[in-house]
Amino acid sequence: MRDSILFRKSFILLSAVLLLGSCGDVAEEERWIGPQEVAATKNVLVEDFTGQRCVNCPEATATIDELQQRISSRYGDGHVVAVAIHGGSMAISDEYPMGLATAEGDAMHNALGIDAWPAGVIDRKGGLCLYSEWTARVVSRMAIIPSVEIACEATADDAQIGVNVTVTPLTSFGGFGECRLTVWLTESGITALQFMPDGSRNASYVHNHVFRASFTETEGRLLAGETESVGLSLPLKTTWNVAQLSVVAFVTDATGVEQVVEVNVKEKND
Amino acid sequence: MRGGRRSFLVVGALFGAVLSMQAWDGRLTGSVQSDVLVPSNPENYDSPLLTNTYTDLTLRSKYFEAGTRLEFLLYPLPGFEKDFRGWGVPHLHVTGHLDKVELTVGDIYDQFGSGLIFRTYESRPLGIDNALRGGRLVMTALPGVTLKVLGGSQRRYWQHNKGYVVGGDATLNIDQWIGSMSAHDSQLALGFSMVNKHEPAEGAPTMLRTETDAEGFPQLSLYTLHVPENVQAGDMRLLYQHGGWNVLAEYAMKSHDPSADNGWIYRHGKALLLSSSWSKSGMSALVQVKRSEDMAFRSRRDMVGLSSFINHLPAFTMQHTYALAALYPYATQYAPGEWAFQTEIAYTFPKGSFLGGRYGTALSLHASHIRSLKISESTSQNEPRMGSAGEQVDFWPGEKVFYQDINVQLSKRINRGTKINLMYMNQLYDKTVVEGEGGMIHSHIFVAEGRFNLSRNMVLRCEGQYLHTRQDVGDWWYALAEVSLHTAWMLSVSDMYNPQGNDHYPRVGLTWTGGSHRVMAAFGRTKAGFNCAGGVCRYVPESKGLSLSYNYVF
Repeated sequence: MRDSILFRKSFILLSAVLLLGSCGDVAEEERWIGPQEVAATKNVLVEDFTGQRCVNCPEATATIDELQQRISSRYGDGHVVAVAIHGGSMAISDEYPMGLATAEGDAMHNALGIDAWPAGVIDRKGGLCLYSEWTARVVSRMAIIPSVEIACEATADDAQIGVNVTVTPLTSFGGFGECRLTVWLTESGITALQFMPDGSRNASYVHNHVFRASFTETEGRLLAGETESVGLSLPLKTTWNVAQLSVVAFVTDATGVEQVVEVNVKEKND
Repeated sequence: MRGGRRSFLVVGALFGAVLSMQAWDGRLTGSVQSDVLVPSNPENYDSPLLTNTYTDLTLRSKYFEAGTRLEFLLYPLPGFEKDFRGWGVPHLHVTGHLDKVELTVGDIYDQFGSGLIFRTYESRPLGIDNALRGGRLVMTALPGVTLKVLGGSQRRYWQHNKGYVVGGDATLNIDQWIGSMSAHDSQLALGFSMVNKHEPAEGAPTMLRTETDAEGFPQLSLYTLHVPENVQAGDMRLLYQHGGWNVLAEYAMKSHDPSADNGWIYRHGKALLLSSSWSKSGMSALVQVKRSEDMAFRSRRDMVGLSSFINHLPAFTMQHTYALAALYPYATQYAPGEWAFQTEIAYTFPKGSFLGGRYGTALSLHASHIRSLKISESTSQNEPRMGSAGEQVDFWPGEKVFYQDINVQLSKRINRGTKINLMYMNQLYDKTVVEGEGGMIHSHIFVAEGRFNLSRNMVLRCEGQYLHTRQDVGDWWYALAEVSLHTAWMLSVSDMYNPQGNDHYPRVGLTWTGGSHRVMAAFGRTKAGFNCAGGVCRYVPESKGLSLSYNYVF
């Protein structure tokens, strides 16, 4: 009798174990929970390879403008950092008064083998792409957790532009190969010639975030992997409008741009 | 330091309580195992002395058993994970037996059937201890019926995984109900098991998708994988034994269990195991077949490596003891799975026969063959594999061979003082499958071993081995000479040599055995490779230095 009670109790216990928890199977339509809106955790670098004689390049510029406006309204300013790099056969050299292409810009075009414009690289990830892909690529990069933090200050006096950049490693810094810091000077509000999509020539076209010069080596400056402060300078050219100058600083590794920031150049008497 | 002081207090209190009980009529048993490496390049290690040291203590009486283990793994031997480091008392259990009931509280090792859905065990060479910390109740209330219920959280090095594992097993020994079966030396048992793993859904993988908002502008959306918090696995088996025959058929299933092992797909796990053996005096035969699909079952779904396994799929490969035969050992592929076949035939030619000679001759043939599952339909290139049902898998084997070992061994005593073992082995080893890269390695291995009684107190054992392959790092040679004196002392000298790289791995060792004590000291260079047991493998990097080992059982 006692055995029978014991057996019954243990059988109930075993049955409870067998039935514990609902069945683990998940129906096909229930395998993803979402969508949840994503926070923008990282800024994204848009390198717009362009030329003043490229008729479709204003379309790419318009894409950037719309992208910056929409991203700013949703996530705040500064998440899309664009640099228009003039170079190649569709560009006009800055040796001419209206030209915006620099020797460094030309070198970057050559290095990437660009032979069709406009072309872009988003966050140094995924190679060259058409401007129709830029928005999606930018948005997909914004949710990545950056491995570095960049603080940047830029000031200009009558003779030069000085930049102080501090790179602070975060969790995974240095885990994906060599990390390099690149610092560029850009200028907006430049009125200069641009061939337009309808074939016309617009001499009053306003060019924004145009690459002017690099503070660092073209391939960037190697970082040691610890918090590092770098002081850099460039001689100020008289053709540049200091009020429209910005400094773009970014850190790259084998996986692309880890972080990028853009700051306005302040005049020392500000 | 983890768990150190508090564990000592708990252990002391428990042992004190058990000892103070009036029913105490038992004894204390235990063991000490200490393996030490003094590397000749200490600058590459955290400590000039590395050791894996264990001390087990067990108190047993008629009604109680209490066991504990002290582990010192603060500076472990090379090849163990960072989380493996630590010291303390990670194991403690108290078992009470009363009539037909047995209750255990503490750290539990157990296995349901062949372990297809549940096996907790300790393997020190592999650094595995996946005990459940909880409770277990075993009841044999009716003749021939054993019921077992257990549950707890699983040990992972010096912590216990979140969530818990509960399980139940019923074994029905039908032969005990049918008198005629017992009378005819037949046994028939049916077994049913079920395990439920509960794990919080936190940390589930996420996926970013670029979608468009109402205005057609891309926006980034985050989706989180809906991982089931409860994963169930069931097992049923039938074991029949009659005379020298032994037949086992076992089938296990597992519910959806997206994990790092399977690439986060939703597919049922399945395992089928058939095993049949036959033996009589001087002859034996074994045939085994196993098909497993997506049966990696862990208490942590994001875990890879050797830890946190709830189940164990038995390896259908021979565990070789000869150095070169064990150079390319196979590790069971839990996911996506495998087909495994194994057979072994052994025959001893009797004394006085033509082939048996004066002392008889033992001949055995062993073959293992493991291959992939057949993929009948791949996942869509446009859809991510994660979150899908994965590839469509056919029942029958696929085309890819993972491993094959065909070996023949001959063992013969030449005269009263001389015995020889000869082995030839033909091996296929897909290094990419097991180690991630390296391709298929086809090797021929020849082994000759001789044991010579030089005098009444001196035995010489020699091994010569040769592995020939055109792949990987090419051929290997191995030679060993081992002299045993008075059964207490043993001196061994060996070298493993790779002509292609002109690499030598020499080793000199001295062992002393006295009563329950065994001390070993060896100096040499150990080749990097995989240390495997039961189809579970751990990579051990190359090391050089003085190895010391002490074992004591009381």
